[in-house]
Amino acid sequence: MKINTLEIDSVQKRFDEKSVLTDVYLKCETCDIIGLLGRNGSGKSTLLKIVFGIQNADQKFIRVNGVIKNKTSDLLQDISYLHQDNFIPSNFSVKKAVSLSLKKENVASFYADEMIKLLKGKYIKQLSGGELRYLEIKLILSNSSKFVLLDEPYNGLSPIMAEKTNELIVENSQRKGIIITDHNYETVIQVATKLILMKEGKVHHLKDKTELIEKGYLSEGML
Amino acid sequence: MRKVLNVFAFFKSTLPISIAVSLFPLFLGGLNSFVLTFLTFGFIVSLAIKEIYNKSNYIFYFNNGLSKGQLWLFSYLMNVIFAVVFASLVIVLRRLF
Repeated sequence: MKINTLEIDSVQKRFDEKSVLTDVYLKCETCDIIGLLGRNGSGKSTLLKIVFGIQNADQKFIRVNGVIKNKTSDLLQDISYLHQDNFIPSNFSVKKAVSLSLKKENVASFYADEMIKLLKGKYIKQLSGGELRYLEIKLILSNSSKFVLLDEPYNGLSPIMAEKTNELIVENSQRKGIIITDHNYETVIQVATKLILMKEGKVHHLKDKTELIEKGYLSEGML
Repeated sequence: MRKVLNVFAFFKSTLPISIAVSLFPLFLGGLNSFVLTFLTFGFIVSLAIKEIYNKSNYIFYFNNGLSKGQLWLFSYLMNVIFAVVFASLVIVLRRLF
């Protein structure tokens, strides 16, 4: 199996006079599931948008397998991104969204999922919030990108769906590097192989989840 | 092939607004005005409306490997093909009847 590496280096971002991201460095490899935690406004979503190329940074270096990717069109070949808001056009059928997103040979296995099977004959606008979120997550985990950025994947998912999503994440991490950010910290911790805390625009690579308490993200007893 | 189908889906989503904007010039100035408006103002208005009301839909195409520039460029080219085919059809029908 080929191990791919995504390096996010020297990312700096200021909004007006406020520094949101300061000299951020992050490395993600195939099989990594990185849990990116932090309080509201700590810059987690901004960082993911910058990495995907849909938000400008004052400075950034994104390398995939050691090659610097300056153009957004180059990044889109290697990275997929789950936006906080739903992104599949509502007039599409589920079938159309799937056929536009996946290679033909992957479509049959995609529909093997019991949950997805139930959605097959429907239109996107007919899906519930949880069903749509699950479809979006499964689509971008199943496509051919090397890395996946998940911004609040558990938003609107029931506990069972969140658990199923974690199973999907673990299964697909065998061929992808995955970065997750979500306020549902327990579910993130459950699935993450590495934890990173964002605080005051800086990233803190954690050795153990108890550091979340030491660094003030969680209170005593929350773990 | 999948990328072409993605661009085609994007192009189709711009069509209703482009056509609606170009209908008024069609009735006022005829076929030439329709084609001109369709390829300029109509297309720009359809992109502007998408930018305001359906911006997150772009993420779908980004995840399929297409940038905004590629989507705009290739759907504009499809617009040109559509306009040429439509204008040719109208001309042929006028000559026949």
